[in-house]
Amino acid sequence: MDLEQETADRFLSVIAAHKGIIYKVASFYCRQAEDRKDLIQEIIYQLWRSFRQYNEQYRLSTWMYKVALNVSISFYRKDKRRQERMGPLTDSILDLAPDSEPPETERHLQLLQQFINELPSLDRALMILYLEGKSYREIAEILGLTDTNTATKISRVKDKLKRKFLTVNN
Amino acid sequence: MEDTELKSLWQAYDQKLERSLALNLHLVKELQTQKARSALRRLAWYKVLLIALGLMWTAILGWLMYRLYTPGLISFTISAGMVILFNLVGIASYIRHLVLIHRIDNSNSVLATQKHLAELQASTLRVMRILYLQLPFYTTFFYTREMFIQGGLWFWLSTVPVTLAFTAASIWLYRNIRQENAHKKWFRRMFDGPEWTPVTQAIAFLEEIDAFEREDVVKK
Repeated sequence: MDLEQETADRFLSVIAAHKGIIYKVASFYCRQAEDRKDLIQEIIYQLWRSFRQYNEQYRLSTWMYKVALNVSISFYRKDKRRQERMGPLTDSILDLAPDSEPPETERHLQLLQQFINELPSLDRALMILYLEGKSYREIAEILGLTDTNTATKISRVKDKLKRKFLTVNN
Repeated sequence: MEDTELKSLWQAYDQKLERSLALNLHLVKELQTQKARSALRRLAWYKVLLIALGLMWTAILGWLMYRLYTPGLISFTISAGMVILFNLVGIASYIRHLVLIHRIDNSNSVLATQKHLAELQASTLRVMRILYLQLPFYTTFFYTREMFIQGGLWFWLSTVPVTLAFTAASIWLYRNIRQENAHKKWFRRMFDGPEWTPVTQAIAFLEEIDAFEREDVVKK
């Protein structure tokens, strides 16, 4: 097997193992299913472009979050004409099959998604990383903040989310 | 809702994705074979278009300067020369932007990459304000020595005031077209339209990044 093929196969296994990261980030920056399909395609394409330069001294997930968040925030800011730019692929790379949670969990999940979606794009990135269980140091590295202040920002955004839940539940 | 509840809700979402998310490997393989596609292609093409238009205009003016050169029409040579100079500054800036677009790396930190990108989009405005400085030279193309000597009242009351008005307007635009004025009414009117939307959105996003960073610095 040549090196090129080996890299391509390794990339496929990385994507398969971390597909959840891509889907989660894309779904919080793009709620429309059609646009999300394009965004997921763009994230995977940019990951592939950057894969050969991936520096193994960093965690794979750190690299993936940086690329996925950067592509998603840029995509989110573009106007609707972006669809003209996309390639010929018409099917979805990532498909979410119907799957229902208990009604209460489902309702809370929808609210959480809605509330995170309402946050400014940078706060949104911060919250996604926090809920993903990333350490403050890793969040600071991905976003480019100082790690001492990441905690303060997280606490502020978390309070905002909690207040929103409180408003709905009362 | 408490912290632990938020996290367990997120875990429920994670498990849901784990159960139901299917990856289409065939499509990923297709993406791997696509070459030289860039999300920034439109921004790069826009800069290339401006470079091409700038070069065309510079070539036309250069040709006219060569063809029309006479000692009696020295003002045309000077005016066209100044316009060419401003155009060359614009062209050089856009070439620099193209280089910067190709250097954008999505695997850098989110704030650094997004700031870089937004600055690139907003920089169109910075070039524009420099280009506005060439405006008065368009009114002096056909000034001659005779006009100053024999032009009379008509020349001093109609032609010269136009040049002075263009000079004042270009200096005012140069000084006032800046990010801090993006919220002002005249600015929004002037840069209203689909071609300016990415630029004005980039300015707004730069402010959001600045606020995010400033908060970080203040708390240090």
